[in-house]
Amino acid sequence: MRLSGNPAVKVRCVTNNPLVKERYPASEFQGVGIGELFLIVRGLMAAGHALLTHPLYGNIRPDVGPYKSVLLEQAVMPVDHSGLQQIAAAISYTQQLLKLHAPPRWDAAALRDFQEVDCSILGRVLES
Amino acid sequence: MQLELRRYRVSDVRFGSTTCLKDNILYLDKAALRASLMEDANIREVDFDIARPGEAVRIMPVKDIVQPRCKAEGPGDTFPGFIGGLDVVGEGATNVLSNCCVPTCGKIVNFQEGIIDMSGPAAEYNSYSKMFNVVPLVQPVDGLDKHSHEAAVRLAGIKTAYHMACATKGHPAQETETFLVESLPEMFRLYPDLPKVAYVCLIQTQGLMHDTYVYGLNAKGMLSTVISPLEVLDGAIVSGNCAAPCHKTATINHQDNPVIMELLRRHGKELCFLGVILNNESALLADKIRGANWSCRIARQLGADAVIVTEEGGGNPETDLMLNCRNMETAGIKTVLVTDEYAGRDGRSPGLADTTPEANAVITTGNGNQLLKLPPMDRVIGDIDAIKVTVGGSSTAVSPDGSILVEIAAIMGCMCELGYERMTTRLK
Repeated sequence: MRLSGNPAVKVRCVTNNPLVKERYPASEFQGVGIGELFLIVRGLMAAGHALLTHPLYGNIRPDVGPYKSVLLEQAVMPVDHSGLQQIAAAISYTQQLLKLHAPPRWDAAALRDFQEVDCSILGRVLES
Repeated sequence: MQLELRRYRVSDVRFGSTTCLKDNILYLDKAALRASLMEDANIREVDFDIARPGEAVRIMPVKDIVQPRCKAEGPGDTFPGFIGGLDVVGEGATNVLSNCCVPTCGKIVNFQEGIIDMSGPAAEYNSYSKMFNVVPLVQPVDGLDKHSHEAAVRLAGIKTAYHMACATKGHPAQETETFLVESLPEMFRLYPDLPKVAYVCLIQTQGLMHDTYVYGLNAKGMLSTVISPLEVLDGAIVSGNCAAPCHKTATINHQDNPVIMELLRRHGKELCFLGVILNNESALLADKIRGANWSCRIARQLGADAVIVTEEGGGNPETDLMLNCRNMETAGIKTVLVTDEYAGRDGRSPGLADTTPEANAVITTGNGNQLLKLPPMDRVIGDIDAIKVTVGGSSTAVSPDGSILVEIAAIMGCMCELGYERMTTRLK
Protein backbone atom coordinates (compact mmCIF):
# COMPACT_ATOMS: atom_id res chain seq x y z
CA MET A 1 0.00 0.00 0.00
CA ARG A 2 1.22 3.48 -0.79
CA LEU A 3 0.26 7.08 -0.16
CA SER A 4 -0.30 8.53 -3.63
CA GLY A 5 1.37 11.78 -2.76
CA ASN A 6 4.33 10.17 -1.05
CA PRO A 7 4.91 6.72 -2.54
CA ALA A 8 8.30 6.37 -0.85
CA VAL A 9 6.60 5.91 2.51
CA LYS A 10 6.22 2.21 3.27
CA VAL A 11 2.71 1.89 4.56
CA ARG A 12 1.29 -0.87 6.71
CA CYS A 13 -2.45 -1.06 7.31
CA VAL A 14 -3.90 -2.82 10.33
CA THR A 15 -7.66 -3.20 10.21
CA ASN A 16 -10.62 -5.12 11.56
CA ASN A 17 -12.74 -4.07 8.60
CA PRO A 18 -13.33 -6.98 6.19
CA LEU A 19 -14.17 -4.57 3.39
CA VAL A 20 -10.75 -2.96 3.72
CA LYS A 21 -9.14 -6.39 3.45
CA GLU A 22 -11.23 -7.06 0.36
CA ARG A 23 -10.34 -3.78 -1.37
CA TYR A 24 -6.78 -3.57 -0.14
CA PRO A 25 -5.47 -7.13 -0.02
CA ALA A 26 -2.11 -5.95 1.32
CA SER A 27 -3.76 -4.78 4.53
CA GLU A 28 -3.51 -6.92 7.66
CA PHE A 29 -6.87 -8.05 8.91
CA GLN A 30 -7.39 -8.69 12.60
CA GLY A 31 -10.73 -10.19 13.59
CA VAL A 32 -10.89 -8.31 16.89
CA GLY A 33 -12.70 -5.35 18.40
CA ILE A 34 -11.40 -1.80 18.15
CA GLY A 35 -9.89 -1.84 21.63
CA GLU A 36 -7.82 -4.93 20.85
CA LEU A 37 -6.91 -3.53 17.44
CA PHE A 38 -5.42 -0.46 19.09
CA LEU A 39 -3.40 -2.68 21.45
CA ILE A 40 -1.97 -4.51 18.43
CA VAL A 41 -1.09 -1.16 16.87
CA ARG A 42 0.60 -0.04 20.06
CA GLY A 43 2.71 -3.19 20.01
CA LEU A 44 3.80 -2.51 16.44
CA MET A 45 4.69 1.05 17.34
CA ALA A 46 6.78 -0.12 20.27
CA ALA A 47 8.71 -2.15 17.72
CA GLY A 48 9.43 1.01 15.70
CA HIS A 49 6.44 1.66 13.42
CA ALA A 50 5.22 5.24 13.20
CA LEU A 51 1.59 6.33 13.24
CA LEU A 52 0.36 7.89 10.00
CA THR A 53 -3.37 8.23 10.65
CA HIS A 54 -5.16 9.29 13.80
CA PRO A 55 -6.47 6.07 15.39
CA LEU A 56 -9.85 7.71 15.99
CA TYR A 57 -10.30 9.08 12.47
CA GLY A 58 -13.83 9.78 11.32
CA ASN A 59 -16.55 10.68 13.76
CA ILE A 60 -17.98 7.30 14.48
CA ARG A 61 -17.37 6.65 18.15
CA PRO A 62 -15.45 3.44 18.90
CA ASP A 63 -18.32 2.28 21.14
CA VAL A 64 -20.81 2.81 18.30
CA GLY A 65 -19.18 1.61 15.07
CA PRO A 66 -17.24 -1.67 15.13
CA TYR A 67 -14.53 -0.93 12.54
CA LYS A 68 -11.29 0.98 12.46
CA SER A 69 -8.26 0.91 10.23
CA VAL A 70 -4.88 2.33 11.19
CA LEU A 71 -2.07 3.24 8.81
CA LEU A 72 1.48 2.91 10.03
CA GLU A 73 4.82 3.71 8.45
CA GLN A 74 6.89 0.58 8.55
CA ALA A 75 9.71 0.41 11.08
CA VAL A 76 11.31 3.83 11.12
CA MET A 77 13.10 3.91 14.47
CA PRO A 78 13.61 5.79 16.72
CA VAL A 79 10.31 5.21 18.40
CA ASP A 80 7.47 7.58 17.43
CA HIS A 81 6.85 9.00 20.90
CA SER A 82 4.19 11.43 19.77
CA GLY A 83 2.37 8.61 18.02
CA LEU A 84 2.63 6.40 21.11
CA GLN A 85 0.93 9.14 23.08
CA GLN A 86 -1.80 9.28 20.46
CA ILE A 87 -2.46 5.55 20.53
CA ALA A 88 -2.37 5.49 24.33
CA ALA A 89 -4.94 8.28 24.45
CA ALA A 90 -7.05 6.46 21.87
CA ILE A 91 -6.94 3.26 23.91
CA SER A 92 -7.96 5.08 27.07
CA TYR A 93 -10.77 6.99 25.32
CA THR A 94 -12.06 3.80 23.70
CA GLN A 95 -12.00 1.81 26.92
CA GLN A 96 -13.87 4.58 28.71
CA LEU A 97 -16.62 4.67 26.09
CA LEU A 98 -16.91 0.88 25.83
CA LYS A 99 -17.76 0.70 29.54
CA LEU A 100 -20.93 2.75 29.06
CA HIS A 101 -23.14 0.15 27.43
CA ALA A 102 -23.27 -3.27 25.85
CA PRO A 103 -22.01 -3.42 22.27
CA PRO A 104 -24.75 -2.42 19.81
CA ARG A 105 -26.21 -5.23 17.75
CA TRP A 106 -26.04 -3.92 14.22
CA ASP A 107 -27.79 -5.63 11.35
CA ALA A 108 -25.98 -6.56 8.14
CA ALA A 109 -26.97 -3.32 6.41
CA ALA A 110 -25.59 -1.15 9.19
CA LEU A 111 -22.39 -3.21 9.36
CA ARG A 112 -21.91 -2.79 5.63
CA ASP A 113 -22.42 0.98 5.97
CA PHE A 114 -19.85 1.20 8.75
CA GLN A 115 -17.43 -0.77 6.59
CA GLU A 116 -18.00 1.53 3.63
CA VAL A 117 -17.49 4.73 5.62
CA ASP A 118 -14.28 3.41 7.18
CA CYS A 119 -13.08 2.28 3.76
CA SER A 120 -13.90 5.67 2.26
CA ILE A 121 -11.87 7.54 4.85
CA LEU A 122 -8.96 5.14 4.42
CA GLY A 123 -9.18 5.52 0.66
CA ARG A 124 -9.09 9.31 0.98
CA VAL A 125 -5.91 9.04 3.06
CA LEU A 126 -4.26 6.76 0.53
CA GLU A 127 -5.03 9.32 -2.18
CA SER A 128 -3.08 11.92 -0.20
CA MET B 1 -16.94 44.45 2.54
CA GLN B 2 -20.35 45.35 3.87
CA LEU B 3 -23.30 43.02 4.31
CA GLU B 4 -26.80 43.74 5.54
CA LEU B 5 -28.75 40.82 6.97
CA ARG B 6 -32.51 41.32 6.54
CA ARG B 7 -34.38 39.06 8.93
CA TYR B 8 -37.89 37.79 8.55
CA ARG B 9 -39.83 35.91 11.22
CA VAL B 10 -42.98 34.33 9.87
CA SER B 11 -46.02 33.39 11.91
CA ASP B 12 -46.62 30.12 10.05
CA VAL B 13 -45.55 28.04 7.09
CA ARG B 14 -48.19 26.31 4.95
CA PHE B 15 -48.45 24.66 1.60
CA GLY B 16 -50.28 26.75 -1.02
CA SER B 17 -50.84 27.17 -4.73
CA THR B 18 -47.89 29.54 -5.11
CA THR B 19 -44.79 30.24 -3.05
CA CYS B 20 -45.23 33.65 -1.46
CA LEU B 21 -45.15 35.61 1.75
CA LYS B 22 -48.60 36.92 2.61
CA ASP B 23 -49.85 38.36 5.89
CA ASN B 24 -46.58 37.14 7.40
CA ILE B 25 -47.38 33.54 6.48
CA LEU B 26 -44.99 31.70 4.19
CA TYR B 27 -46.86 29.66 1.60
CA LEU B 28 -44.95 26.99 -0.31
CA ASP B 29 -45.90 25.64 -3.71
CA LYS B 30 -45.14 21.99 -3.14
CA ALA B 31 -45.41 21.14 -6.83
CA ALA B 32 -42.92 23.82 -7.85
CA LEU B 33 -40.56 22.80 -5.11
CA ARG B 34 -40.84 19.18 -6.10
CA ALA B 35 -40.16 20.05 -9.74
CA SER B 36 -37.03 21.93 -8.72
CA LEU B 37 -35.66 19.05 -6.68
CA MET B 38 -36.62 16.44 -9.29
CA GLU B 39 -34.22 18.10 -11.74
CA ASP B 40 -31.69 15.87 -10.02
CA ALA B 41 -31.81 12.59 -11.93
CA ASN B 42 -30.68 10.77 -8.80
CA ILE B 43 -33.96 11.54 -7.03
CA ARG B 44 -36.79 9.12 -7.73
CA GLU B 45 -39.40 10.94 -5.68
CA VAL B 46 -39.62 13.69 -3.10
CA ASP B 47 -42.30 14.86 -0.72
CA PHE B 48 -42.37 17.55 1.92
CA ASP B 49 -43.68 17.88 5.45
CA ILE B 50 -43.87 20.73 7.94
CA ALA B 51 -43.26 20.60 11.68
CA ARG B 52 -44.19 23.56 13.85
CA PRO B 53 -42.94 24.63 17.28
CA GLY B 54 -44.84 22.97 20.09
CA GLU B 55 -46.26 20.14 18.01
CA ALA B 56 -45.87 16.58 19.27
CA VAL B 57 -43.76 15.76 16.24
CA ARG B 58 -40.40 14.04 15.97
CA ILE B 59 -38.17 14.43 12.93
CA MET B 60 -35.60 11.70 12.39
CA PRO B 61 -33.15 10.66 11.04
CA VAL B 62 -31.96 14.21 10.35
CA LYS B 63 -28.83 14.64 8.29
CA ASP B 64 -28.21 18.35 7.70
CA ILE B 65 -30.10 21.53 8.53
CA VAL B 66 -30.10 24.60 6.28
CA GLN B 67 -31.33 28.11 7.02
CA PRO B 68 -33.29 29.79 4.22
CA ARG B 69 -31.17 32.67 2.90
CA CYS B 70 -30.97 34.38 -0.49
CA LYS B 71 -29.26 37.45 -1.85
CA ALA B 72 -31.40 40.55 -2.21
CA GLU B 73 -28.53 42.75 -3.38
CA GLY B 74 -24.88 42.32 -4.18
CA PRO B 75 -22.76 39.94 -6.20
CA GLY B 76 -23.48 36.26 -6.49
CA ASP B 77 -26.06 34.36 -4.50
CA THR B 78 -26.17 32.34 -1.32
CA PHE B 79 -24.69 28.86 -1.29
CA PRO B 80 -22.07 29.74 -3.91
CA GLY B 81 -20.94 26.75 -5.88
CA PHE B 82 -24.35 25.11 -5.39
CA ILE B 83 -27.12 27.67 -6.00
CA GLY B 84 -25.08 30.78 -6.57
CA GLY B 85 -22.28 30.80 -9.11
CA LEU B 86 -18.70 31.28 -8.06
CA ASP B 87 -18.80 35.04 -7.44
CA VAL B 88 -17.34 35.97 -4.09
CA VAL B 89 -20.26 36.60 -1.76
CA GLY B 90 -20.62 38.47 1.50
CA GLU B 91 -21.60 41.90 0.20
CA GLY B 92 -24.83 43.72 -0.42
CA ALA B 93 -27.92 42.41 1.36
CA THR B 94 -29.09 38.92 2.27
CA ASN B 95 -32.61 37.92 3.27
CA VAL B 96 -32.89 35.46 6.16
CA LEU B 97 -35.93 33.49 7.27
CA SER B 98 -34.66 33.42 10.81
CA ASN B 99 -37.34 31.21 12.37
CA CYS B 100 -37.35 28.61 9.63
CA CYS B 101 -35.06 25.75 8.83
CA VAL B 102 -34.79 22.84 6.43
CA PRO B 103 -33.72 19.56 8.03
CA THR B 104 -32.94 16.92 5.43
CA CYS B 105 -34.31 13.62 6.56
CA GLY B 106 -33.86 10.06 5.50
CA LYS B 107 -31.66 7.03 5.73
CA ILE B 108 -28.48 7.43 3.74
CA VAL B 109 -26.52 5.20 6.04
CA ASN B 110 -27.94 3.24 8.92
CA PHE B 111 -26.55 5.36 11.69
CA GLN B 112 -25.51 8.79 12.92
CA GLU B 113 -28.31 11.09 11.85
CA GLY B 114 -30.26 12.70 14.68
CA ILE B 115 -33.50 13.72 16.33
CA ILE B 116 -35.44 16.96 16.41
CA ASP B 117 -38.41 16.89 18.81
CA MET B 118 -40.74 19.85 18.40
CA SER B 119 -41.93 19.53 22.00
CA GLY B 120 -41.03 17.72 25.19
CA PRO B 121 -37.66 17.38 26.95
CA ALA B 122 -35.54 17.11 23.80
CA ALA B 123 -36.98 20.35 22.46
CA GLU B 124 -35.03 22.18 25.15
CA TYR B 125 -31.76 20.94 23.73
CA ASN B 126 -31.75 22.67 20.36
CA SER B 127 -33.04 25.76 18.60
CA TYR B 128 -34.68 23.89 15.73
CA SER B 129 -37.68 22.99 17.89
CA LYS B 130 -38.52 26.71 18.00
CA MET B 131 -38.43 27.07 14.23
CA PHE B 132 -40.77 26.07 11.43
CA ASN B 133 -39.14 22.98 9.94
CA VAL B 134 -39.78 22.25 6.28
CA VAL B 135 -38.59 18.71 5.65
CA PRO B 136 -37.81 17.40 2.17
CA LEU B 137 -38.23 13.63 2.16
CA VAL B 138 -35.98 12.40 -0.62
CA GLN B 139 -36.22 8.94 -2.14
CA PRO B 140 -33.20 8.11 -4.30
CA VAL B 141 -33.24 6.07 -7.48
CA ASP B 142 -32.67 2.37 -6.93
CA GLY B 143 -29.08 1.27 -6.54
CA LEU B 144 -27.68 4.78 -6.01
CA ASP B 145 -24.27 4.77 -4.38
CA LYS B 146 -23.99 6.43 -1.00
CA HIS B 147 -21.79 9.32 -2.16
CA SER B 148 -24.36 10.30 -4.79
CA HIS B 149 -27.25 9.76 -2.36
CA GLU B 150 -25.67 12.11 0.17
CA ALA B 151 -25.00 14.70 -2.52
CA ALA B 152 -28.60 14.51 -3.73
CA VAL B 153 -29.99 15.00 -0.25
CA ARG B 154 -27.56 17.82 0.46
CA LEU B 155 -28.53 19.71 -2.66
CA ALA B 156 -32.22 19.08 -2.01
CA GLY B 157 -31.91 20.77 1.37
CA ILE B 158 -30.11 23.77 -0.10
CA LYS B 159 -32.62 24.15 -2.95
CA THR B 160 -35.56 23.93 -0.54
CA ALA B 161 -34.07 26.54 1.76
CA TYR B 162 -33.26 28.86 -1.14
CA HIS B 163 -36.77 28.46 -2.59
CA MET B 164 -38.26 29.45 0.77
CA ALA B 165 -35.99 32.45 1.20
CA CYS B 166 -36.81 33.82 -2.24
CA ALA B 167 -40.41 34.38 -1.11
CA THR B 168 -39.14 37.26 1.04
CA LYS B 169 -37.81 39.30 -1.88
CA GLY B 170 -39.53 42.64 -2.15
CA HIS B 171 -40.97 42.46 1.35
CA PRO B 172 -39.73 44.77 4.12
CA ALA B 173 -37.64 43.00 6.73
CA GLN B 174 -38.67 43.04 10.37
CA GLU B 175 -35.10 43.48 11.51
CA THR B 176 -31.84 44.43 9.82
CA GLU B 177 -28.25 44.21 10.93
CA THR B 178 -25.31 45.59 8.96
CA PHE B 179 -21.70 44.50 9.25
CA LEU B 180 -18.71 46.30 7.82
CA VAL B 181 -15.43 44.45 7.56
CA GLU B 182 -12.58 46.67 6.48
CA SER B 183 -9.36 45.68 4.77
CA LEU B 184 -6.54 44.77 7.15
CA PRO B 185 -4.59 48.02 6.65
CA GLU B 186 -7.78 49.96 7.31
CA MET B 187 -8.52 47.95 10.45
CA PHE B 188 -5.07 48.64 11.85
CA ARG B 189 -5.44 52.32 11.05
CA LEU B 190 -8.90 52.63 12.61
CA TYR B 191 -8.45 50.40 15.65
CA PRO B 192 -4.80 50.60 16.70
CA ASP B 193 -5.49 50.01 20.37
CA LEU B 194 -8.09 47.26 20.15
CA PRO B 195 -7.01 43.63 20.66
CA LYS B 196 -6.70 41.84 17.34
CA VAL B 197 -8.72 38.63 17.31
CA ALA B 198 -8.91 35.92 14.67
CA TYR B 199 -11.20 32.91 14.56
CA VAL B 200 -9.95 29.46 13.58
CA CYS B 201 -12.86 27.37 12.38
CA LEU B 202 -12.02 23.67 12.16
CA ILE B 203 -14.03 21.91 9.45
CA GLN B 204 -14.05 18.19 8.90
CA THR B 205 -13.32 16.66 5.51
CA GLN B 206 -12.34 13.01 5.71
CA GLY B 207 -14.54 10.95 3.39
CA LEU B 208 -18.05 9.58 2.91
CA MET B 209 -20.49 11.34 5.23
CA HIS B 210 -17.55 13.31 6.67
CA ASP B 211 -17.07 16.15 4.19
CA THR B 212 -17.40 19.93 4.07
CA TYR B 213 -17.68 22.15 1.01
CA VAL B 214 -16.34 25.67 0.53
CA TYR B 215 -17.80 27.48 -2.49
CA GLY B 216 -18.96 24.08 -3.64
CA LEU B 217 -15.46 22.62 -3.50
CA ASN B 218 -14.83 19.58 -1.33
CA ALA B 219 -12.30 20.88 1.19
CA LYS B 220 -10.24 17.66 1.18
CA GLY B 221 -6.56 18.44 0.97
CA MET B 222 -7.27 22.11 1.62
CA LEU B 223 -4.47 23.94 3.36
CA SER B 224 -5.56 26.37 6.06
CA THR B 225 -6.85 29.51 4.43
CA VAL B 226 -8.54 32.81 5.14
CA ILE B 227 -12.18 33.58 4.41
CA SER B 228 -14.23 36.64 5.22
CA PRO B 229 -16.81 36.13 7.96
CA LEU B 230 -19.34 37.77 5.65
CA GLU B 231 -18.80 35.05 3.04
CA VAL B 232 -19.59 32.44 5.69
CA LEU B 233 -22.89 34.21 6.47
CA ASP B 234 -23.81 33.89 2.79
CA GLY B 235 -23.52 30.10 2.83
CA ALA B 236 -19.98 29.74 1.51
CA ILE B 237 -19.52 26.70 3.77
CA VAL B 238 -21.93 23.79 3.30
CA SER B 239 -21.93 20.63 5.38
CA GLY B 240 -21.78 17.15 3.93
CA ASN B 241 -20.99 15.84 7.35
CA CYS B 242 -22.36 12.89 9.22
CA ALA B 243 -20.55 13.43 12.46
CA ALA B 244 -22.54 12.41 15.52
CA PRO B 245 -25.76 14.43 15.42
CA CYS B 246 -25.03 16.36 18.59
CA HIS B 247 -21.88 18.03 17.34
CA LYS B 248 -21.88 17.98 13.59
CA THR B 249 -21.56 21.50 12.25
CA ALA B 250 -24.71 21.65 10.16
CA THR B 251 -24.94 24.15 7.34
CA ILE B 252 -27.20 26.38 9.46
CA ASN B 253 -24.53 26.51 12.15
CA HIS B 254 -22.03 27.85 9.59
CA GLN B 255 -24.57 30.34 8.17
CA ASP B 256 -25.44 31.65 11.62
CA ASN B 257 -22.08 30.94 13.27
CA PRO B 258 -22.40 32.43 16.77
CA VAL B 259 -18.65 33.01 17.13
CA ILE B 260 -18.63 34.98 13.90
CA MET B 261 -21.78 36.87 14.82
CA GLU B 262 -20.46 37.87 18.23
CA LEU B 263 -17.06 38.90 16.90
CA LEU B 264 -18.72 40.98 14.17
CA ARG B 265 -20.96 42.70 16.71
CA ARG B 266 -17.97 43.62 18.85
CA HIS B 267 -15.73 44.57 15.94
CA GLY B 268 -14.48 48.11 16.19
CA LYS B 269 -15.80 48.45 19.72
CA GLU B 270 -14.11 45.96 22.06
CA LEU B 271 -11.90 44.17 19.59
CA CYS B 272 -10.71 44.12 16.03
CA PHE B 273 -11.97 41.01 14.22
CA LEU B 274 -9.26 40.10 11.75
CA GLY B 275 -11.09 37.33 9.96
CA VAL B 276 -11.75 33.60 9.77
CA ILE B 277 -9.09 30.96 9.27
CA LEU B 278 -10.48 27.72 7.91
CA ASN B 279 -8.49 24.68 9.04
CA ASN B 280 -9.36 21.25 7.68
CA GLU B 281 -9.53 18.25 10.04
CA SER B 282 -7.86 15.48 8.09
CA ALA B 283 -7.45 11.82 9.08
CA LEU B 284 -3.72 11.95 8.34
CA LEU B 285 -1.57 13.11 11.26
CA ALA B 286 0.84 14.95 8.97
CA ASP B 287 -2.09 16.94 7.57
CA LYS B 288 -3.20 17.86 11.08
CA ILE B 289 0.28 19.14 11.91
CA ARG B 290 0.55 20.95 8.59
CA GLY B 291 -2.89 22.52 8.99
CA ALA B 292 -2.24 23.75 12.51
CA ASN B 293 1.17 25.12 11.47
CA TRP B 294 -0.42 27.02 8.59
CA SER B 295 -3.22 28.38 10.79
CA CYS B 296 -0.67 29.71 13.23
CA ARG B 297 1.42 31.21 10.49
CA ILE B 298 -1.67 32.93 9.07
CA ALA B 299 -2.67 34.21 12.50
CA ARG B 300 0.80 35.66 12.96
CA GLN B 301 0.72 37.27 9.50
CA LEU B 302 -2.65 38.81 10.34
CA GLY B 303 -1.17 40.22 13.53
CA ALA B 304 -3.50 38.34 15.89
CA ASP B 305 -3.21 38.88 19.62
CA ALA B 306 -5.74 36.13 20.29
CA VAL B 307 -7.71 33.44 18.54
CA ILE B 308 -10.86 31.50 19.22
CA VAL B 309 -10.70 27.92 17.93
CA THR B 310 -13.79 25.76 17.45
CA GLU B 311 -13.73 22.13 16.41
CA GLU B 312 -16.13 19.92 14.50
CA GLY B 313 -16.81 16.42 15.74
CA GLY B 314 -14.99 14.49 18.45
CA GLY B 315 -12.06 12.17 18.96
CA ASN B 316 -9.45 12.93 16.30
CA PRO B 317 -10.52 16.62 15.94
CA GLU B 318 -9.29 17.18 19.46
CA THR B 319 -5.79 16.70 18.06
CA ASP B 320 -6.39 19.51 15.56
CA LEU B 321 -7.74 21.63 18.39
CA MET B 322 -4.76 21.01 20.66
CA LEU B 323 -2.16 21.41 17.92
CA ASN B 324 -3.64 24.80 17.12
CA CYS B 325 -3.65 25.73 20.78
CA ARG B 326 -0.05 24.70 21.35
CA ASN B 327 1.20 26.47 18.24
CA MET B 328 -0.68 29.68 18.94
CA GLU B 329 0.22 29.89 22.62
CA THR B 330 3.88 29.17 21.83
CA ALA B 331 3.75 32.04 19.35
CA GLY B 332 2.35 34.33 22.04
CA ILE B 333 -1.20 34.31 20.68
CA LYS B 334 -3.77 33.74 23.41
CA THR B 335 -6.26 30.99 22.64
CA VAL B 336 -9.75 30.07 23.72
CA LEU B 337 -11.00 26.65 22.64
CA VAL B 338 -14.60 25.51 22.23
CA THR B 339 -15.32 21.79 22.33
CA ASP B 340 -17.79 19.26 23.64
CA GLU B 341 -17.05 16.18 25.73
CA TYR B 342 -17.85 12.53 26.25
CA ALA B 343 -17.28 12.36 29.99
CA GLY B 344 -19.33 9.36 31.00
CA ARG B 345 -22.82 9.23 32.44
CA ASP B 346 -21.81 11.20 35.54
CA GLY B 347 -19.43 13.61 33.82
CA ARG B 348 -16.47 12.42 35.85
CA SER B 349 -14.44 10.73 33.12
CA PRO B 350 -11.89 12.55 30.95
CA GLY B 351 -14.00 14.01 28.16
CA LEU B 352 -11.47 14.57 25.40
CA ALA B 353 -9.30 12.30 23.26
CA ASP B 354 -6.37 14.73 23.30
CA THR B 355 -5.12 17.56 25.48
CA THR B 356 -2.18 19.89 25.85
CA PRO B 357 -0.94 21.87 28.87
CA GLU B 358 -1.42 25.12 26.93
CA ALA B 359 -5.18 24.52 26.82
CA ASN B 360 -6.06 26.55 29.89
CA ALA B 361 -9.06 28.44 28.49
CA VAL B 362 -11.60 25.94 27.23
CA ILE B 363 -15.34 26.28 26.86
CA THR B 364 -17.36 23.09 26.85
CA THR B 365 -20.67 22.79 25.03
CA GLY B 366 -21.83 19.78 27.04
CA ASN B 367 -21.39 16.08 27.77
CA GLY B 368 -22.75 13.73 25.11
CA ASN B 369 -23.01 10.70 27.39
CA GLN B 370 -25.85 12.11 29.50
CA LEU B 371 -29.07 10.15 29.19
CA LEU B 372 -32.48 11.63 28.47
CA LYS B 373 -35.88 9.98 28.37
CA LEU B 374 -38.02 11.19 25.51
CA PRO B 375 -41.79 10.68 25.49
CA PRO B 376 -43.56 9.22 22.48
CA MET B 377 -44.69 11.72 19.87
CA ASP B 378 -48.01 11.83 18.03
CA ARG B 379 -46.25 11.88 14.68
CA VAL B 380 -42.85 11.00 13.31
CA ILE B 381 -41.51 12.59 10.16
CA GLY B 382 -39.01 10.08 8.86
CA ASP B 383 -38.50 6.70 10.47
CA ILE B 384 -39.20 5.85 14.12
CA ASP B 385 -37.09 2.72 13.86
CA ALA B 386 -34.08 4.89 13.11
CA ILE B 387 -33.70 5.43 16.86
CA LYS B 388 -32.36 1.90 17.11
CA VAL B 389 -29.44 2.83 14.88
CA THR B 390 -28.85 6.45 15.85
CA VAL B 391 -25.75 7.08 17.90
CA GLY B 392 -26.83 7.27 21.49
CA GLY B 393 -29.82 5.04 20.75
CA SER B 394 -29.90 1.27 20.79
CA SER B 395 -32.11 -1.65 19.91
CA THR B 396 -33.54 -1.57 23.44
CA ALA B 397 -34.04 2.18 23.48
CA VAL B 398 -37.80 2.13 22.71
CA SER B 399 -39.94 1.17 25.71
CA PRO B 400 -43.36 -0.49 25.42
CA ASP B 401 -45.03 2.87 26.13
CA GLY B 402 -43.19 4.38 23.18
CA SER B 403 -40.77 6.44 25.23
CA ILE B 404 -37.11 6.42 24.26
CA LEU B 405 -34.00 6.45 26.42
CA VAL B 406 -31.12 7.99 24.51
CA GLU B 407 -27.86 9.73 25.08
CA ILE B 408 -28.22 13.42 24.31
CA ALA B 409 -25.66 12.70 21.59
CA ALA B 410 -28.65 11.63 19.49
CA ILE B 411 -30.29 15.06 19.64
CA MET B 412 -29.51 17.15 16.60
CA GLY B 413 -27.03 19.91 17.25
CA CYS B 414 -27.46 19.99 21.02
CA MET B 415 -23.73 20.25 21.65
CA CYS B 416 -22.76 22.22 18.56
CA GLU B 417 -19.15 23.19 19.04
CA LEU B 418 -19.64 26.65 17.57
CA GLY B 419 -21.64 27.47 20.68
CA TYR B 420 -24.93 27.55 18.77
CA GLU B 421 -26.97 26.14 21.67
CA ARG B 422 -27.15 26.90 25.37
CA MET B 423 -25.60 23.90 27.04
CA THR B 424 -22.35 24.06 28.95
CA THR B 425 -20.81 22.38 31.96
CA ARG B 426 -20.53 23.67 35.48
CA LEU B 427 -17.61 22.69 37.66
CA LYS B 428 -18.59 21.31 41.07
